[in-house]
Amino acid sequence: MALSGTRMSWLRCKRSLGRKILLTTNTHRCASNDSTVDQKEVEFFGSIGNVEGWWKEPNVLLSMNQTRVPLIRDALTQQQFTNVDQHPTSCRTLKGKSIVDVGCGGGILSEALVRLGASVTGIDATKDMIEAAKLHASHDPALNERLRYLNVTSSDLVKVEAESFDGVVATEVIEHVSDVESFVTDCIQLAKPGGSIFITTINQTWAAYMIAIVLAERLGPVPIGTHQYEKFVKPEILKSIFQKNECSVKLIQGQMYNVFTNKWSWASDLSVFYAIHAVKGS
Amino acid sequence: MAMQTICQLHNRCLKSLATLVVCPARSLTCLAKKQRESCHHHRFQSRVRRFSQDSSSKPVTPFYDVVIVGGGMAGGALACALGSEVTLADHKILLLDHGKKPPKLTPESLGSEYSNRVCALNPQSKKLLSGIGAWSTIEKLRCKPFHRMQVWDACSDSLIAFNHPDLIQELAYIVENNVTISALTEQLEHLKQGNVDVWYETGLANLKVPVQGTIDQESWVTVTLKDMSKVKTRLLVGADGANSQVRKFGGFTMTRWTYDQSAVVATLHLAEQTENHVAWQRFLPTGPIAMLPLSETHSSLVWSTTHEEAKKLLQMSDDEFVEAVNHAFWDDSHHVASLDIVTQIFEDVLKVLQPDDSSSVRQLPPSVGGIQPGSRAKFPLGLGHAMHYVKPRIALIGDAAHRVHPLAGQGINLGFGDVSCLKDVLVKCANLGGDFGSISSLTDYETQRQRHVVPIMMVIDALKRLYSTTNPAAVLARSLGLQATNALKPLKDTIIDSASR
Ligand SMILES: Cc1cc2nc3c(=O)[nH]c(=O)nc-3n(C[C@H](O)[C@H](O)[C@H](O)COP(=O)(O)OP(=O)(O)OC[C@H]3O[C@@H](n4cnc5c(N)ncnc54)[C@H](O)[C@@H]3O)c2cc1C
Repeated sequence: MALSGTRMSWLRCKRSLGRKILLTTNTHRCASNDSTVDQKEVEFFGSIGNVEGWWKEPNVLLSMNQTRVPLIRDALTQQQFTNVDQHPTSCRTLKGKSIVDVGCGGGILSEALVRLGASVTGIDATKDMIEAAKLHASHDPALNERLRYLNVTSSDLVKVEAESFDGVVATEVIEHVSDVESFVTDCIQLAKPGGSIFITTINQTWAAYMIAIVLAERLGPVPIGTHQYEKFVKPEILKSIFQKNECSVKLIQGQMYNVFTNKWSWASDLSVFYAIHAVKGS
Repeated sequence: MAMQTICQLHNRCLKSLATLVVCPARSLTCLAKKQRESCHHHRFQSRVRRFSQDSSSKPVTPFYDVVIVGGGMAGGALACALGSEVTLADHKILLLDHGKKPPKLTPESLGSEYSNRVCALNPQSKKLLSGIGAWSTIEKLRCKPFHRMQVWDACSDSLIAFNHPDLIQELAYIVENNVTISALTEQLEHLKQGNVDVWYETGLANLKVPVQGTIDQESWVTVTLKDMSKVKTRLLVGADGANSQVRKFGGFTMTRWTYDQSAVVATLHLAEQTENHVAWQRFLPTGPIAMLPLSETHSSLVWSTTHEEAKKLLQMSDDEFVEAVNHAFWDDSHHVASLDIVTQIFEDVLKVLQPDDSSSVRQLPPSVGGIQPGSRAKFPLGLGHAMHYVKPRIALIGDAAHRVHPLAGQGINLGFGDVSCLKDVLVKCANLGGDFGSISSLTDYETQRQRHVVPIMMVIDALKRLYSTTNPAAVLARSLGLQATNALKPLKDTIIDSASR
């Protein structure tokens, strides 16, 4: 039961991620010639979109907040990274910080960061997704003031709000973009000098292939074709893009997901899921 | 819209609060609170709350991060624990109880009479209460530490005694329930200046939990109160005791059975003044009888027995009752003589294995000289365990989640354990920017607590059953068990340790 529930939500999330890219063609604001949007992904995901189920529990993306929120929170408050979550001793730890959540989807991470006190801009190329995120947040009286959702791509936002954010976050999205380098460059441009960029994604390894494609898609419930091995990104590639753009890479850390407990934890092994944190030179 | 509601509120009953009209819509709860503070009369308060409902087309309902139903020891402690946690300072907490505000006790108002409802609070419970600032008040009011607990069997000579080796460290504290409640109420008074609201004489009438995980409708719990006003919350906590309405309306399944036993409680006067730092419990075939120290001259009685005997015990005169209590502690007629030789041999063997253990020295309980008039009462006993302690947006704590036999004095200690655990889980959730009602984080609370509570409940139930018989085999088994446990220090230390966790 629990297992199938988790699988279902994995499916849902991945579907929704797909949808996000699909609808880029339907909105005028994000031209389909945007270098980061992949037309093939768009066509593939055309058949399996589902915005509705984004917030259903259990939910891999929601539980991924167990690792990605402390990573962002502690880096932006100059705390030392630790494998176990050590709680801060005040509320609203991220008060005064501005963060952009690139590829925010239904807002699972954006809402969490707002609750911690940050001012968050969630952007997503999919209009439906942004509408869903807005609707979901509108029910919560604690989220009104510091949360804004925009239906734009990262390149669109760079044109108007370059160098505006203390934190730029792109989690579980880079494995779906076509031009990794220009996507990461956009992210870097959005950050203030000295600001942080956080990316979480899937490595391009044999293990990642086995888990994300063979286990999840061929043998599991995730639709075949959701992930493409060629699009998985090796950490060295991200590292070199950051270095080329005068960012210093502070951390590359592996992540592990336990299907049975629906929990994420940090690991030293980078071979499947990993997170990278870089700081833009000032 | 919200502005319009506020204006209407203003026109109809809040003339004196004109200045607050400038509050944004979100502060409506604060407005309601100010109103409550400015007027103590409850009925007027609920009228104001109702006005906020029907004075406009779309009701504006007060919103809280946590609503706790039931201001008993568990609910009161949770409200204090959440309210005094710095990381939760911007979370709004509401505590509801259908009873009146408990009176503030002072050493003078306590006088020389004792309440007949007492609990043995273990060191973990003390730690929780110290953390929320209530323990110092309890100490100022009245509590009695004890250093040793002696448990023995009416059918054989076997006994077990628990104490820390030096006899200086306390095992637990006997505290009257109303003292604990008064200390918690005092803390709540301080916290009311911050993020905690407390509404007395406010009963729960119903609750609604919408489908979770949808985006087109909100997912908060709507709580309907007895006066038909409503509040909304991310997380509803049922701390409303063994007959929990939250559990019922929330559709939780409860496994329960009655023991065909009642507990008779009373405040006892000792025949002579003693140090009185030992808790005594003797297993009679009809149920355990316990004498818990209250002072050098008083002890509290908890006597679990059949309904018929309980009824008799309540009807007899004070003198007859005192005699019955003394008889229950001293009488030897249940002894199964043929077993004495076996248990004696076994004890000798254990002495060889573990010589020189002072704690196995048998002590004798003080004899009772009288009872505090009017202090006799009885309660039916039962066991209950909710299959789940959580559902999306609802959590159960204290007796609402689990009810145990008082023989091990664990009831509220388990409840306070729930409070610490739920607080930790919510703090963790807040630090991840999470939603308090999210089932993923509430499940952590359930898993941790059931892992602790279920084994304790099973042991208590097994003890209850094992000791409710005079069958020689059972008597022998339990005698040898008690003796061995008593003699084997490591085992006993584990028990002391886990009983105080
Ligand atoms: C004879 C006896 C001896 C005991 N001895 C010990 C002992 O030595 N050690 C120990 O740890 N435990 C002991 N216990 C158990 C202990 O008393 C209970 O575990 C404890 O009181 C439970 O606390 P609670 O806060 O969970 O529930 P309760 O004390 O039952 O509090 C529930 C509260 O909720 C309120 N309420 C109920 N319904 C509603 C509603 N619908 N709306 C609003 N408010 C509502 C009530 O007014 C009450 O204030 C003993 C119990 C008995 C019967």
